[in-house]
Amino acid sequence: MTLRLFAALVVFAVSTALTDAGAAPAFAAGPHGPAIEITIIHALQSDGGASIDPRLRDLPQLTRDQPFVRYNVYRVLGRQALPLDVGKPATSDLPNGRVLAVTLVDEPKGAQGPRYHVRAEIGEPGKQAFLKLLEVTASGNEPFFVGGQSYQGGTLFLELVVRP
Amino acid sequence: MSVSHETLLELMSLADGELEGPDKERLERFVASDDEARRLLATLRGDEVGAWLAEAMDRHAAGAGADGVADAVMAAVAAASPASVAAASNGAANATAAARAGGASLAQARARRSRLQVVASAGAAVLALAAGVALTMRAGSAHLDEHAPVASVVAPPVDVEAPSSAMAQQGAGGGVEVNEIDAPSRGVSVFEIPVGAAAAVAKPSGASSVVIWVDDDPGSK
Repeated sequence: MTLRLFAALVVFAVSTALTDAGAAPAFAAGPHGPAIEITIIHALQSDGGASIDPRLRDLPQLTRDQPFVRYNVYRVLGRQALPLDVGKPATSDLPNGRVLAVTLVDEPKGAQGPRYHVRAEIGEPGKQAFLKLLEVTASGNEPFFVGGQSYQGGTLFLELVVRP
Repeated sequence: MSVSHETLLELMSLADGELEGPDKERLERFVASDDEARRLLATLRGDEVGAWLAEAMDRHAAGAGADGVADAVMAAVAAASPASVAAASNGAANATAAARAGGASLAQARARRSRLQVVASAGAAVLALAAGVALTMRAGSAHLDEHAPVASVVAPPVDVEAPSSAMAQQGAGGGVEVNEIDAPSRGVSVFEIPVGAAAAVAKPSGASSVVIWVDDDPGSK
């Protein structure tokens, strides 16, 4: 009986830990260094009514203005966080067959804390690069967007955030 | 019996493992030198005392009329509900059997208690470990869900007509700074998202953000 009780406790503890692990993002930045969080958003103009994915909780503020005002349906197609190392590109496959590569160039010191100088490229094998070079310097947790790629009657917005 | 009442109590404490230090050493020396004390200690540590206790308790209960009380209670229950009598009888029989089995050996009871304590300690440790893991993972994931708030667009967008030109857009409060854009043969626009009233509340740092818009091929995807 006592062995059964002990086994039940172990099963409960392990299942609890695994449940929480499943709810967590693929990569948690922090002790591993900075990470780039990439959210792929599909934006559409629909006559069927507006809808915004609840995971885009900050987006409703933007939908009144350009370029977001052109669309009224926003869906999250994917979100991932990739570790950022200086000079090492972190790549992510996009749903339109292109590949986004983000590289940490350096970490200049800012007046309000560390800043992150990153380079982004969007290419497609055998074709001219969609975005040959984009260099941005931002603070941690400060998002910026890359939009314009045509996808299934709408466009893709890529939300990029460096997580310290 | 040459062993005094006080010594008998001390021997019981020794048998239960409750003596330590000089008292334990003194009693062990005494046990080593006294045959009766040694025999008593062996009895206290063995199964015989369990059987003796059970027999003594039964005798005492019979003398006090406990059996009569049980019969009276059973008769009252039988009068209230015949169906419940069977269950009550079974319960009473099981309880009696369990009590006798439990009193059969103090040594076995001690061993069971010890095992239960070990299992309970291990269970508590496992639960604490699981809670720690869960809290750690929650703490690690929490800030990934924190999106930096963005402001409404107040200023008109900045159009960049020369795709390969270097540019620098710095928002208020040292926000997102666009250092360079190169998208050959494509139109590029940069929409600055300056600080708005709503964002100023949500993001006191006053940083801004940008949307880099790159025109795609008309028939693409």
